[in-house]
This record gives sequence, structure tokens and C-alpha cells, in this order.
Amino acid sequence: MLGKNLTPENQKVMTDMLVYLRVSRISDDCIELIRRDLVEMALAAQERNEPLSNVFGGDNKFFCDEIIASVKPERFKKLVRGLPFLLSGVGLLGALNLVSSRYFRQFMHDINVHSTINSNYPVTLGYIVNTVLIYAVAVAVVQFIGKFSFRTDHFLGRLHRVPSMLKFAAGGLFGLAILLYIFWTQQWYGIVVFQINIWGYLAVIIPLLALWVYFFVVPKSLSKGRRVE
Amino acid sequence: MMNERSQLLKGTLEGSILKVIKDSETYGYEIAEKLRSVGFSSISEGTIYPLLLRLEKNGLLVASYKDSPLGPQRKYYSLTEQGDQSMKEFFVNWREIEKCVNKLLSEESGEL
Repeated sequence: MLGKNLTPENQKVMTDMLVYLRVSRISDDCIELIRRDLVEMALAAQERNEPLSNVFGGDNKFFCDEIIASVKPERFKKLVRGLPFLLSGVGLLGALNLVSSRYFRQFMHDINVHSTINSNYPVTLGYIVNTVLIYAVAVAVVQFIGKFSFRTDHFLGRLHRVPSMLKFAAGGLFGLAILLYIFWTQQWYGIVVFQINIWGYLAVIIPLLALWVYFFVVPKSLSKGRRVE
Repeated sequence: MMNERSQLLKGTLEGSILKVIKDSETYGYEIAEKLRSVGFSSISEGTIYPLLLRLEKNGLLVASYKDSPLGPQRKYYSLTEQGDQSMKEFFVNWREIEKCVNKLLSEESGEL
């Protein structure tokens, strides 16, 4: 909201810097204070009709690295603050795993025919491995986007020059690799690592799923206390 | 040559910033302007912002936010007691080093 008066060009510079800072070891609270300062500096430069390179020195990555080096690292605090988001993801993946499982189909069938419900929910190797993999890929993607935020134009420019057929082939190969992975790991969903009481499982998953809905589905204007950018 | 200059600048900029802030509570752009006015030509607000963060982290400065005409609040810096002490130590060290270097330069001025 503070940056809405910036020109599109200056907005892009600020966005690149803040994305880079967000994947650093600085806590989110500190980044928010730095963001306010940088936006104020950028608006003042804009008012003086000066380019942001006059203010930040032309090498925005170097400027951000200097900021990171000057501020106390708070990795643990950042991890603790991020824990609710991470756990909410567990809620979503746990719920998806449940409703797509053979156990759930049997469970619903048993309810319909008023039969005895098996309360032991099997946690499979496939679920555990794929949950860990999804998180690892998500973290890697976020870190990659953040660390290379100053090179997106360069990257997109190079991508634009790649022939369409090659892009299509690369995309197809990537999709094929995902399909092969899914087929290959299908059997892991038959390997039960441990069993858990279904009601205990739901008691954990449902609140986490509600948290995920609050963070990612509820519109920002309706959720008090969420940071508005 | 440029690397030597930046090394010298690194060693003196923090003390110089403390001196500017000692004179009056001020904000980043004003500090950079003051430094440029005394001859630090390559200094921008971005050059000193990380230094201000470090000085604040180390307890030499304290910051407060005040309304600015542009909308977002502006960050003003003032010196703490520790910052004042650090500034005085910097200038004592600076004068000692300056004396030695000037003496060296005047002894060898014929060779330069």
C-alpha cells in the first residue's frame, strides 16, 4: 500500500529487492521496517525526479547484500513465525491424502451400510515421501525465485529466444517425468509405515486445514491482522 | 586505486555519519547531502543506509519515525551516549593517524 504511488518501473525495482530480502536470514518484522524505509527513500527520489539508481547505487543486489550483512540474523525467529504456514500445508496435504485414499472409500462405504468402521487410518510411505518432496520443492522454488529476483528480466529474455518447439518439448518431458514419478511411487501408497486413530488424525488435520483456508483462501480484507502489501 | 579509496572510505564513513548526526537529529537523505557537501562525492542515501542500520543495531544510534510530506513516515536518527563516545574515540584515532600520515608525506614530499 505504501508503494502504490511509485511508477511501474520503480515498483519493479522495489519488488525485486523485497523478494530478495524475504528469502534472506532477516526476520519478517525487520524486513517490514526496511521495506517502509526503502519505499520512503524511493518516493522521495521520485519526487526529486531522480532515478532509483542514484539512491541505491545502481547495483541493487549489492545494496541488499549490504543490508543483510548489517542486520542481526534471526533465522530461528523466522522459522518460528513461518511454522503456522508450514503446518497449515500439512493440513491440506493430509486432507487430500485422506479423501483420495482407499481407506476413505471403505470408510464411507461402512457408514452407508451401517457397518463397523475401521478406526485405524494407515499412514503410508507414499504419503510421507511425497509430503516431504512437495515441501522440499516448494522451498527450493521460493528460494530460487528470491535469490534470482534481480535476473528475471535476463532469464525471461533468454527464454523468449528459445524456439517454441524446444519449449514445448521441455515442458512435455517435464510432464512425462512427473507422470513417471507418480506411476513409480504408486506402489509406495501400499506400504503402511504406521497406523493412527482416524479421529485423532482428524482432530489434528481439520484445524490445520482451517488454518490453511484462513491464510490462503480468505480474502485479505476479511482477515484482520494479516499484512497488506 | 579505487579499491584503496573505498577501503579508506569504509574506515571513516561511520565516524563521519556519527558526527553529522551529533550536530542534529536527521534522516538519511540529509546525512548523505551533508557528506556530499564536505566532499564525499560518491555518497548516496543507499551507501549509508546499511551503515545506519548497523550503527542502530550496535546501539550507537536510536531511530524514530516522523510524518513526512510524501505519505510514509520518515526515519530520523539521533545519537545515543554510546554513539557519542564512539564518535569521540573515532576522532581521537583519526587525528593520530592523520598526524602520522601527514608527517610521512611531508618527509617524503620531494620524492612524490
